[in-house]
Amino acid sequence: MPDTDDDLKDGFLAEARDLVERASEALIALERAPDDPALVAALFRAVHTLKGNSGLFDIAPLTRVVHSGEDLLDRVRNGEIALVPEMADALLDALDQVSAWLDLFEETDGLPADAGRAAAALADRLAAFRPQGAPAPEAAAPAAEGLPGDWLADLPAGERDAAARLLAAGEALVAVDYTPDEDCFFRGDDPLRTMLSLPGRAWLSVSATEPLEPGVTFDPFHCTLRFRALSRAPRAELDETLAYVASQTRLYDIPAQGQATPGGDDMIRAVIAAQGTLLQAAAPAGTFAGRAASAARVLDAVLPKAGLDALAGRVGSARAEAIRTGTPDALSALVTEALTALDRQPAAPAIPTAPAAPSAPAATRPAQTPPRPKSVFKVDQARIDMLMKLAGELIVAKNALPYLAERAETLYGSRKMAREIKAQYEVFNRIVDEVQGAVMQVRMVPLSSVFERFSRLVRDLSRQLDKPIRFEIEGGETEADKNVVESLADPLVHLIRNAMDHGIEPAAARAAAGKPPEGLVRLSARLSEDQVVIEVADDGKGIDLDRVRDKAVERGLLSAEAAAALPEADAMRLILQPGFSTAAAVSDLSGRGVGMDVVASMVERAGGTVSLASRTGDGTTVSIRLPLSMAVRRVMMVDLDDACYGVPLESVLETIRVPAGDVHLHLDRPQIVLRDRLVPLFDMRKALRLSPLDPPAGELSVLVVTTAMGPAGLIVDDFRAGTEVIPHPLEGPLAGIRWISGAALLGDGSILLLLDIEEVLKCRS
Amino acid sequence: MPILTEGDIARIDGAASVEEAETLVAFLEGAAGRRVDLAAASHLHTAVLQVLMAYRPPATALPGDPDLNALLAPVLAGDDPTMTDAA
Repeated sequence: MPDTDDDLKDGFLAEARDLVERASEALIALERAPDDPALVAALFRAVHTLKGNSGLFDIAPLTRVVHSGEDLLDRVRNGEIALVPEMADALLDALDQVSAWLDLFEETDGLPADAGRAAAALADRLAAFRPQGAPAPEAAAPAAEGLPGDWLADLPAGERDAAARLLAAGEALVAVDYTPDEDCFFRGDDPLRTMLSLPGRAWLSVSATEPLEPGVTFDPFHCTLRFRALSRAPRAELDETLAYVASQTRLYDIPAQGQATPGGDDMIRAVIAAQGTLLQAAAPAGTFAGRAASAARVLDAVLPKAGLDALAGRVGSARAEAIRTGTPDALSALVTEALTALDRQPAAPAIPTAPAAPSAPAATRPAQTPPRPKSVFKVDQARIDMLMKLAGELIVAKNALPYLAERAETLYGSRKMAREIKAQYEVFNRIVDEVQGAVMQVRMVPLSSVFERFSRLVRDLSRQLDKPIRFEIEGGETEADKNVVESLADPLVHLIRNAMDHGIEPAAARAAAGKPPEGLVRLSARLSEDQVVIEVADDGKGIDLDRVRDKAVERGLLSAEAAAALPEADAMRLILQPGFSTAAAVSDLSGRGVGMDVVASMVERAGGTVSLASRTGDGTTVSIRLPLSMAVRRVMMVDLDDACYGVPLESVLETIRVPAGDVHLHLDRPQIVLRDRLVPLFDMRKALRLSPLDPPAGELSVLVVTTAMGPAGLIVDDFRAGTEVIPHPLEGPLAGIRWISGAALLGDGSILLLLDIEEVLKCRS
Repeated sequence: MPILTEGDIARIDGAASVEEAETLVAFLEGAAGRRVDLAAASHLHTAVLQVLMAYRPPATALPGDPDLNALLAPVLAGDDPTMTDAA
């Protein structure tokens, strides 16, 4: 059960951090009072407990470091050695490392691949403090690269030969020498399995480190084996595989022998053949000399490598001949000859004999870089944000080009120039799009990182409410921008609480309604174009729309007849209204004093929208749609009193032009009829305290937007194009202006104020 | 139970775990001339391998798994003493 595991892990992490802190404090106090036995005891206890706890998890390197620390402190406690500052430093470093690993373990459920080596280094450093006169531990084998010449000496001839043959073949290899700890079986290690699963394993042998004597004294759980292997896998991959037993292994790089073996190398053959193709290829006459010279240069370099020195000596004259005659024949003949010669050479490389050679080439040949394994590295988020910001600036800069094109045409009268700028703009557009996409990709995290937290919430709440509830997560692998995902956490908590508290009925009511006793809350995510859709669905009693209507009338939001006439979808949206759910919170429509309006405003702040669907008796589904990324917003630009404002495109339903005569007054409010529906109109000039348009326009430009109250029409002076902008929050005194959500720089250098529609509508009176 | 004993032959079937090492020791200690049949062994825990290396019982069949086979063939061949060399 993941829950229990998570609980265990959370508990471990909390306690471990506490213990690390206590140990650090004790250490620092000890530096001032080195002989205080109480402090030593406290320190030992903390480290000892930490070691015990860490054993519950698959974090062997951490356990190993703590274990070494414990050993050392045990000696200090017994008075065998005195605590010296160097020792405290080593211990503090070890604690720092442990603390860093704890953070990593929390995030990734594991330790990095190099943890084993770091642990071994720290453990060695701690183990180096020992009472005077005590024997030093068997010299920690140096991390030396060279393979000891007698590495194979003790092996039986058959196995030794197999290894020697491999070593002599000249491939890049890594030699692995693994002597498992004697008590490794008790830690659940299976060294043989580790070695059998070694990537790229080419040779493996096992031997005993001391004579194995059968009989009553034989302890099958006391490991005295030694494994040796050769692998073709890159060193890094092996390091990773052996991370948990890093301290028990020694790895030696055996670089490839760079000299290609005559005749054995397909690469050389391919290179030579390619020169033939190059020489024969049809090409403009003027380039022939260059091509011939280039082919000659390659042949000159490659032929000696293939052991064809005699042919190499003839390259120069063949080149001169080819250039003189203007035909590639001389060089082509050389290529053909070389290929034939290669075919005649023996296929199998002659094996250099000396089997003890392996360490020699290491010194003379530059190590070949092994192909790097696919690696993951962590980057400070600020750097990614910087990249994102720059990509954003690039979009703005790119958007300046159409203005430039327009100026080229209108100001300088060059239509051709304008066209060229536009063509260039298209190129930029594509590249910038890709840059932005790539940066966004970096910031993508799976939604499961937020979703997983809720299992715990549902479990606790389920107990608290005494409602058995099944929690399902779907589409947790869906990815969205990190900021978007984080902005979701709070709204989702509210929604899930609402669903459980007020959506799902008590068991008795469910039984009466013929539903399964266990309620269902499903959290799902999916992608829909450039938005991510997150749904919280329950199979509870649904929203009682009649009650919603009654409430709305009661709160004076609507007249009784307007409420009755309100379509279901609009009635549902009432719940998202501020002031509505506050009242409802007292009843059982909304949740625990947290209104749906809070959820709606949180989501809208993140550039998203909330919608509700519900069927009485069947349950409720709340859908949140969020842009995949928040950094770039699409806006529709509108003109108002010679200034330009941006309206988030996701809230724009349509733009229409309406004759002034089509405006009706209903309850003293202007309305228009749009597809048989009344849409209230708001004069933006009035709302923003601008002087009325003079003379009044005969035709109104109406921007129809979605609001919590349903569609509304905003009367603006004129529409402009849509564009992409990077919104910046307003600062200083401007930050207090609520109807402006932010500002953005346009391509022509002007500033676009972004309207917060909901807030603007509040200004209407 | 991956170790099945039939008379003087212990048959290891599937993956032998660490606990099996003790069972195997008990079996091999039981009488002289006991043998092992590893034909069906898919994996041997290191501890089991160590038991086999210590007792070197004659094998009626070596593992079908090529890796295990390669490793055990010299151990159980019967006449090669080098396995107990000190490192």
